[in-house]
Amino acid sequence: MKPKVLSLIILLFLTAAAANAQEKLSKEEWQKQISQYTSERDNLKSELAVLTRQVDSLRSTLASLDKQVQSVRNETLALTGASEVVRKEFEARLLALEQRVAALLSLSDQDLFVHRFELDSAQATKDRLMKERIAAAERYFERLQNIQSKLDNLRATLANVKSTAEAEQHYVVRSWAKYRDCLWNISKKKQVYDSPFLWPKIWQANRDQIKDPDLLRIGEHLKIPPQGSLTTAEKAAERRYWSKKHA
Amino acid sequence: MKELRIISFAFLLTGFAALVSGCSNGPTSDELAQLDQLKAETESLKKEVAAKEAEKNTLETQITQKREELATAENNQRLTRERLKSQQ
Repeated sequence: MKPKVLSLIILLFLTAAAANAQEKLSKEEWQKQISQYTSERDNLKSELAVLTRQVDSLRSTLASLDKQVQSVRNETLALTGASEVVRKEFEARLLALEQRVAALLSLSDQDLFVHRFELDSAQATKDRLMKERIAAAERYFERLQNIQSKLDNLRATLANVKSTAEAEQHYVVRSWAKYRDCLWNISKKKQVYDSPFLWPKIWQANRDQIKDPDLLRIGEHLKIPPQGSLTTAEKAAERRYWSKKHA
Repeated sequence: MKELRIISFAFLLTGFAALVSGCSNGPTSDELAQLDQLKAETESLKKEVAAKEAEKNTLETQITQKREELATAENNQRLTRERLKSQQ
């Protein structure tokens, strides 16, 4: 046999042997891994046991704290001397008051002015509730403080509305012949609106006196509402006026 | 023909080498199964330990929050006593 061929055969033999040997675990390696994993398993079991004890202890602590919290809260409520029936009845009245105040908060400034006496009534109800022993409990005290804060805000709003209403001007109509007093010209005056286009404001504010916006009577006391852009109602009235005029 | 004999002999020798190395003194199939089971058990324990640690952390957080709740409740009780005194 040629040496080259023989070398090739030997090389093939060794390669096959080595490849096959690598695929299988040796007994020594197996033993080594068995020891390693056994040790790791035992350590993990110990660690798990410790953790389980710790978790059980923490659960117990949490349950105990929860009981303490409930106990303190019940004691606090008991300080007020209120029975469950009284507590429920108080809650119902408090809720009703909160709803009344929420309704007042939803009103426009003008509507609030109309319902201003309800503000006093709500305040009186709040003061009565505040005097009851059960109101000293934190959960109710906070809600009553919240209501008071809202009532204070409503009063501030009402104060602004009132001062605006009180600042309403008046104008006494003079003759057309000499002063050319009509709604357009009155609106145009610097001391009124300085703009003729706001005449519907004056008309609508004086509907009880002005039946026809084209006809003013000498000596009529016209309310001049605060300046501002025309409201939806005022614009609608103006449109109806012009529609009739052009009809 | 001679070359064909050589190549056949080479393949036979390769097969023999593989057979010989495969028959060496390694772990049995039972022993290999034992090792696999041990590995699986270790993995499972690792997961259990991780889950327990996560539960421990959660409980510790809850306990901290509960302690704060208790402090707040005790303070509220104190304030309630003061308010009741001022009502009298």
